[in-house]
Amino acid sequence: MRRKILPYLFLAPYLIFFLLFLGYPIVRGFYISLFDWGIFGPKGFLGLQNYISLLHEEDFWRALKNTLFFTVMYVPLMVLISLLLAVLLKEELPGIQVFRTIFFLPIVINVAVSAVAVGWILDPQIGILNRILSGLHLPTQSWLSREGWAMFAVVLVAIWSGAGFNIIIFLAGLEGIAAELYEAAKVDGATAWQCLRYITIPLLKPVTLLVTVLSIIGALQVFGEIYMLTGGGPHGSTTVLAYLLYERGFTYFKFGEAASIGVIMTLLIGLLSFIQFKLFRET
Amino acid sequence: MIRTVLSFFLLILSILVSFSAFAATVDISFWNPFTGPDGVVIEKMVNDFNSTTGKEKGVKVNLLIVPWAEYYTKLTVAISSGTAPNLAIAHSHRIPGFVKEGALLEFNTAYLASIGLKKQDFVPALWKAGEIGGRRYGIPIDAFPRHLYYDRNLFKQKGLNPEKPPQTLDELIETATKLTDPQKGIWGLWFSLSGAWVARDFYSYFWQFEPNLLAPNKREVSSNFTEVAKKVFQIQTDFIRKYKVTPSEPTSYGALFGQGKLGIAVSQITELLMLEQMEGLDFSAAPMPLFGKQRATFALGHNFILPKGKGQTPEKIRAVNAFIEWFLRNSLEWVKGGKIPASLTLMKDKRFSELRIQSIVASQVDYMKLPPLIPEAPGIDDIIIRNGEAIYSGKSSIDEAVNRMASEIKELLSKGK
Amino acid sequence: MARYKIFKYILLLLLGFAWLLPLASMFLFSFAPNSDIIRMRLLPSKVTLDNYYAVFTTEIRGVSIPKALLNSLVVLVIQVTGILALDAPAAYALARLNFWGRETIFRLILITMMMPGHIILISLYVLMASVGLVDTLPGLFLPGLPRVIGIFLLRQFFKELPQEIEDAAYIDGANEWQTFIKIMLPMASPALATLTVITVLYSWNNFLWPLVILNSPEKLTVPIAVAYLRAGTNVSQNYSILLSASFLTSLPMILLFIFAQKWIVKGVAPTSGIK
Repeated sequence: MRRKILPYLFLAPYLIFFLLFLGYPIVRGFYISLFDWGIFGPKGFLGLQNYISLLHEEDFWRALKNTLFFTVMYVPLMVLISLLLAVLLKEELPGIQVFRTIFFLPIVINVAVSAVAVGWILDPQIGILNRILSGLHLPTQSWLSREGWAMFAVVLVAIWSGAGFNIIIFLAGLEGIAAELYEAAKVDGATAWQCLRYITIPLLKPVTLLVTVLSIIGALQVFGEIYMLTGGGPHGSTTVLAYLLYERGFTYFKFGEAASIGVIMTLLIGLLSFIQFKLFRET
Repeated sequence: MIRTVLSFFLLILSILVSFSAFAATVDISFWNPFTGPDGVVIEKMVNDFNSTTGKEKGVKVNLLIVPWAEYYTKLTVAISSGTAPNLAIAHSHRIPGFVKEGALLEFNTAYLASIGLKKQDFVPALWKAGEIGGRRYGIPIDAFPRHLYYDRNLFKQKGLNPEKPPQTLDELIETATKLTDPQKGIWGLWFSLSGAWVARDFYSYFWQFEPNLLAPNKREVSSNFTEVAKKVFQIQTDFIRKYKVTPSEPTSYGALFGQGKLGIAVSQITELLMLEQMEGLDFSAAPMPLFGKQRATFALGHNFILPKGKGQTPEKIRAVNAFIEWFLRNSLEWVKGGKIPASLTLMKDKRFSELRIQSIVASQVDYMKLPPLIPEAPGIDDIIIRNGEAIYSGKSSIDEAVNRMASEIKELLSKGK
Repeated sequence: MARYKIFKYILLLLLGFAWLLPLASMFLFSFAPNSDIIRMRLLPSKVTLDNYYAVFTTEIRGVSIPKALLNSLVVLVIQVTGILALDAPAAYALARLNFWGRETIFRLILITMMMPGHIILISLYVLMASVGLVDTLPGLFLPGLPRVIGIFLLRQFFKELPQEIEDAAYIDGANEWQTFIKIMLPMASPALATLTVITVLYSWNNFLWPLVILNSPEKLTVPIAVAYLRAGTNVSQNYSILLSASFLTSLPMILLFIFAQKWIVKGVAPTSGIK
């Protein structure tokens, strides 16, 4: 008898917390999305009305568009930069450890500080980026107050802080490529560029796919950088889904609407996560 | 024998003294959004209170200045979670929303009468704003209408009379055109192209043509809203695009004034201290110009409110009242920091007339107007701001944006019950 | 080939410079007077500790950085201990013990890992509000305790240990609990170390939930305190203080990185879902 319940005892503490703070809120999230719910309490049952109004709202489609815009700008850049850096960092160059540290370090910096550090450089009044650009006679920008550029600035911060993570993954992938392949290629007279093109890149395909999918999933949920740098502006051009959720919920206190945004995001992202997980569980 | 009596007496005395020291200071928390130069003023006033009347009455005010952008969010969350401060500030048009949610305690009218707070003392619009359903939820402490600031030096340089600022639309166009000097980067007129002031300037001009923003049933905009709004925005955009006297990009008007590159700005009295601190700037103020049929200018006021909360014991409320009483008596200090008094008595006071700029701005008291005092007021502001910004940035035509405003406002008002 | 190597090196130098620039200049100018920042100097004109002094002694808009550091530390300790204490036995049970519903429960737990945190943001807040935990530290750290990544990581590790270990322990007369405590846990120390490190990073740097659940300035944790400071910072007045506050609060994690880089790197793989 004791034997039978013991595993449950091992499991119970975790499971209690899990059900309380994960399981129940997930279910409740769906529930709240069916109501007009304010910060002082529920105000009326709406059924699917929140979803219907949301799908009719310009703000929602704009947020979706902005989220996709961010993703399209972020993912290719992120994958390329981390891949490039991983290839460079694989070399046995002097001081390579120092370089690795430089690129990994932003991983441990939280999004608020990242935004302060990078945001300062981009600041139109006191930032040095504009100063450097004008010194090189290149056009300067008011990075955070122009519509397309603001999103670009957000992408920059996100890449700066997240690339290290993907570099590590790529490095692990690179390590998996047998050295003999390169040696054999060099014997056949291949240049470094050809090595890259015909050995490295094809063999990295699975890892690249993983990094790409991970980046997409992360991009769809981006929030902190936008909150810190642009507050969703200018003119709502950087208001992504996660930010819209936050705004609806905690600036306007429309919990029902915010919850429905959360449900929609979960459906979108959950699907992608599931695919990612299935694909790579066996890797 | 005497020694025993004496020591007994001393014992009683010391017990009594320690008791009163024990019942000594009541701490009250006071939240407000005054992050600009008026933050310095309120801080000084609170310190003054704490070291004088506060000490006597055993009250200590703990001031917390919350960044303006987050103020109402933090306050609402605090009230809803029971951790609200004992005393807070609210703009007049925020009070209905709070009252609807049951977030505020009412002021004790008997107490108000006892400290001599009478309806006749106050600017009627401000006094009314704090009263809902016959109960008083807000005590007005000031008002801040819209008006013009202008650079007297620049006027003189361009051969204009610094004692006669423009007061009609034609005068404004003419003056601004004379002041504008593209080669030197000097602009004739500035008004805000983004943010809260977009709505405030809009309301000022709108009411000069049509006194009612909303229809009588308060479920939609008034019948000639679209026509008037289009006219107002046309006038505004003409300054930018037709007469080219106003910058088309958002700029800091303070910086422009400081560099001597701006003639006239549409602003509010709360900015007074910032301008006073600029070296070399000789400026004055003028009432809001008249574009339409009757004079009008937008105004809002700050009010003391009592948030509901776990900490609101009778003792704390008494302490809050002590501070409020002191504050109202010392309003001149507050007003010096860039406000118009809410009290008519203070407005007629000689000491107030010595405040030159405030007096000019206060001359508008008979026609300064508050926005509709309904819970949806901040939401209406947002709609006007968003669409106004779209007009000014060129993203939207005036017709499109104004039509959108009308329909969005109607939708907002129909949701409320 | 050598020319190619030089090309690579130059590229690395340029990118490295760009990458280091934000943190390095933040570090440098945290020791500079605010006037340097206004004038956009490339290097500080002098070294001063005024900013750090201000960070330690003043309250800005009710936010005190020392208090925020303390709040973050308390939450960190509770979350790390809590997560290890909850996750280790549960992961062990899911990996090695046999009981009805084992795989179903695991799959259920796993499914939640695929959901973005946003779906529970509102409902968690409403839950906390109903029990009066809004704007409190327990309201902050409790939801972070059942972290699925811990279950995933530890279970994976336990699964890969050979069955013989438990058999040997059983023969020696140990029961499941003793086997777990005395043998399995010590063996799991690399995985536990990795989990500890990634939990430390998660707890210290957590942004969204503290942003939502905390309200009073004196309760803020480090990232939210920095955000709050930034909102209240005027370029012309105290930007340099913001820089020092930012650097100071990141220092613990930077030190962690220097000393535990190995574990951080090890933590990347399970976090990304491979293995």
